[in-house]
Amino acid sequence: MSILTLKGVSQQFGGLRAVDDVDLSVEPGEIVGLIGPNGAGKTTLVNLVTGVYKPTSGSIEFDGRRIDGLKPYQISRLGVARTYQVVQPFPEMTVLENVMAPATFAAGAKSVAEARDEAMSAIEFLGLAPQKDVLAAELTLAGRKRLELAKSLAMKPKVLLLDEVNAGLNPAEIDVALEMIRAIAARGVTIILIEHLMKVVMNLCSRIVVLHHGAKIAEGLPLEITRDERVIKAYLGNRYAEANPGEKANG
Amino acid sequence: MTVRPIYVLAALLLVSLLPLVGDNYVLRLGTMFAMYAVLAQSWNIIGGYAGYPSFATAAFFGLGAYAGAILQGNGLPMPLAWLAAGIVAGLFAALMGAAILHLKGHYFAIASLVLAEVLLEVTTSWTSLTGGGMGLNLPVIRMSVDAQAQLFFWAMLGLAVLAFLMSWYVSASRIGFALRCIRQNEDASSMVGVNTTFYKVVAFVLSALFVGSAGALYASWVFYIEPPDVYSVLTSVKPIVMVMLGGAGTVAGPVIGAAAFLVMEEVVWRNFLSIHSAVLGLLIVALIFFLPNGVLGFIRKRKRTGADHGKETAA
Repeated sequence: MSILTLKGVSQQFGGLRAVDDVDLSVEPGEIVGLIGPNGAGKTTLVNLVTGVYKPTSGSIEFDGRRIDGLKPYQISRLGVARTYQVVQPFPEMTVLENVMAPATFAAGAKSVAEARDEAMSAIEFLGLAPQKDVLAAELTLAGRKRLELAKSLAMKPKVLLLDEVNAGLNPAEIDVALEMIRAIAARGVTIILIEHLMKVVMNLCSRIVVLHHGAKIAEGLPLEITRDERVIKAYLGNRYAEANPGEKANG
Repeated sequence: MTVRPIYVLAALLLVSLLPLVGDNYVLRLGTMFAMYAVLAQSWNIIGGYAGYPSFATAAFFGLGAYAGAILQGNGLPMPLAWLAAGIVAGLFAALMGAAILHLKGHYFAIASLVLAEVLLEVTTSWTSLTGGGMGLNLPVIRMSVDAQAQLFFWAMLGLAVLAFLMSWYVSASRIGFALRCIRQNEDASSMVGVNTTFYKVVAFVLSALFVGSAGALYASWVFYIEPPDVYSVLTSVKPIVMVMLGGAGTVAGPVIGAAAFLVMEEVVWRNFLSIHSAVLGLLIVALIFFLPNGVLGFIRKRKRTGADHGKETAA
C-alpha cells in the first residue's frame, strides 16, 4: 500500500494555479525525485503535503489517513518531516538544542534526557557530534544543511521531503550529502527529493516525477525521463527540442 | 555564566527584610519594586521568551484592578479578590490571545495596544458597574497606616516571588523550550511539531495572570482607582523597558531591570521634577542604544571576550 497518495491536488493563489491536478503515489522505502523548472510548483507541493497550505481541491493521504486540512505540527507528529530550501535553524540555540526540539515536540520524548539521547543519535548519524555545542548561526552552509537533516531525522519520520537540500554546496560536499541521504533511506525512511542537480537525482532516485506550470508532465525511471520530449521542452525550450531530433526520437 | 536564578530568589527574600530597616517611604519604594518586578517578569514570558511585542500589560493590569475593586465592593475578602482578578485577567488573555496571536510583529503590537484602549472606553462608559469617569472607591481597611504599608509590601513581594517561580519554571520546562523555538523561527517550530498557537496562548495567559492580581493589589493599596490611571499606556511601556534593561528572555533579567528602572525613575524624579519625563526618556534611549541586550547581555559579552569563549549556560 502507498504511504503517501495525492489525488487531484490543486492549489490556487488568486489567478495563479501553482499546483494543478497532481496525482502522485509513493511506496514505502522509495526515493522519488521531484524535478521541474523554477516556479513549477515543487515547493508548493511540499507545502501542501506538510500542511502549510490546505489544497484548494483534491485529497492527500498519508499512511491510510487523510492529512489535508491538518496543521503542520499535527502532520509532523504523524511522521512527515521536511527540510527547507532556505535552511531554517533556531539560530541562537546550539546544534544539540536545535535537534532536541523535534525530538521533544514531534517525536514526543517524555523527558529532557530522552530528547537529548534521541537528538544525539541523530547528530552522530550525520557526523555533527564535534559541533554539538556550536550555535546554529555559526555553522557553515554545509553544516546547516546537515543540521536540517539531523532535525528531520530526530522526528523519526516515515516520509522525508528534502527541498533542495544540496543547493549551494560544492561538489565534494554534495558527494557527502549523497551518502547521507542514502544512509537515511537505508534506515527505511521514504524520501521525496526535490532537486535541480541532475547528478543527484540520477544517482539516488528510483523514480522521477516532473512538474511544469504546476502540472505533472512526466513520471518514470531516471533514464526514461532524460529522453522524454516534454521534459526536454519544459527545461530547454521548444527550439532546443527541435534542434536535437535524436533525443526526440528516443522519447 | 550569568546570574543564577537562585541568587535572584535570595535577593528577593532579602528585600522582604526592608520593614525592619526602613520607614514607610522605603516600604513604598519596596512595594513599587515588587509591582514592577511582577509586571516585568510577566511581560518577559510573552515578549522575552516568545518574542511577541505585547503592549497588553495595561489591559491586564486595569482589568485586574477593576475586577478586584468590584469584587471587594461586593464583599469578597481581599485576598480572594486578588486571586479572582488574576483569573479574570488570565481568561481575558486566553480569549484575546486566540484572536490576535496569529498577527506578527508590529501588527500584533498594535492589536495588543488596542486592548487597553477598548477596556478603558468600556470601563468609562459602564458607569453602573465601574463608576465610570468618576472612579471607584474601595472599602476602607481597619488597620494602622504602618500595618497597611507592611501588608501591601509583603503581599506584592509575595506576588513577585510567585511570578519569579513561574518564570523560572517556564524557562526550564517544555513551555519555555517551545517559546524559544517560536521566537527564533516560528515556521520551523511548527514543522518540528510545536503547536505554536497553543504555546503562544499559554504564554499570553501567563503574562496576564500575575499582572491581573497586581492590578487588584494596587487598587486595594491606593483605595481609589479611575480608568486613565489603571489603563495608562505607561503601564504597558515600563515593563518592556525594564526587561530590555535587564535582559530579555532570561529569568534574572526582568528582576534586575525592575530594580534598575525604579532607581532611575526615583533619582530622575527627585532631581528633575519639572522635566522628569524628558530626562527619563533620554536615559532609556541611551541605555537601550548602549546596552541592546540588557545588563545580563553586557555581562555575558564581557565574560565571553574575557574568558575566550568559555562555556556558558543561559540564566
